[in-house]
Amino acid sequence: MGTTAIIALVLQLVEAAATSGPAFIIIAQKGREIIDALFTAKLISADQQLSTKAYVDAVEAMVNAGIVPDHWKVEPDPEGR
Amino acid sequence: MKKLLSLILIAGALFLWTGATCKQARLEPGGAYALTNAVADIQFYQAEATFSMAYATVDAAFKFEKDNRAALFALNPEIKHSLDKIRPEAVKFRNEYIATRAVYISHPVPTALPVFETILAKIQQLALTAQAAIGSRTAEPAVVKITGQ
Repeated sequence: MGTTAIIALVLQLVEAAATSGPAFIIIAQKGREIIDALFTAKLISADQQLSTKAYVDAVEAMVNAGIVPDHWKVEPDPEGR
Repeated sequence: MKKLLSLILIAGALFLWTGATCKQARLEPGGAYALTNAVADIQFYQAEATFSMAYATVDAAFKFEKDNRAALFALNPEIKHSLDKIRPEAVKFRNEYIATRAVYISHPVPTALPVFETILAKIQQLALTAQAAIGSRTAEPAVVKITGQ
């Protein structure tokens, strides 16, 4: 996958997120940050590092609290099916 | 609907690509992962970035299905059934990654890094499976109402 194709994909990603819900914006933000770091500066900035660490720290906090989001749980099929 | 599905697929491609190219970049000194400026730091960052992208992708797929369950189940019950198969695994590998991460942070030796690769490979596979479950089974035009997330 070439650089141009990657950038095109990320632009699509950001465009899609702009018209989607908050759950998808996180992914778009990550995509933009990664592109900026790798292709613009070739440097993972302190802010980028902090963003990644904060995200995984938040997942860690959920795990340590024993939290499994409802949409990660297996639930019965909708009735009448 | 098409945009949402494209987003999930694109995100999957992006996180896989991230793992292959991130080695070319450097960590800015003073950052959360630039503790020693050693090779191990960028490798740990790479593991973290890959995990966060994979986690976000799996999470988005699960949430999309949950938020639109009635419509998607009417369209194709296998979407939910396929995701239900990997939901317990996703929880398991999420917890394994976090446990491994905690051990590494408390004792950051490079020899511990390969452990991440095994767990990340599993999580990446789950993300691909989640994308396939939604992407391949909703290709036909649907006369159903899909919410934004």
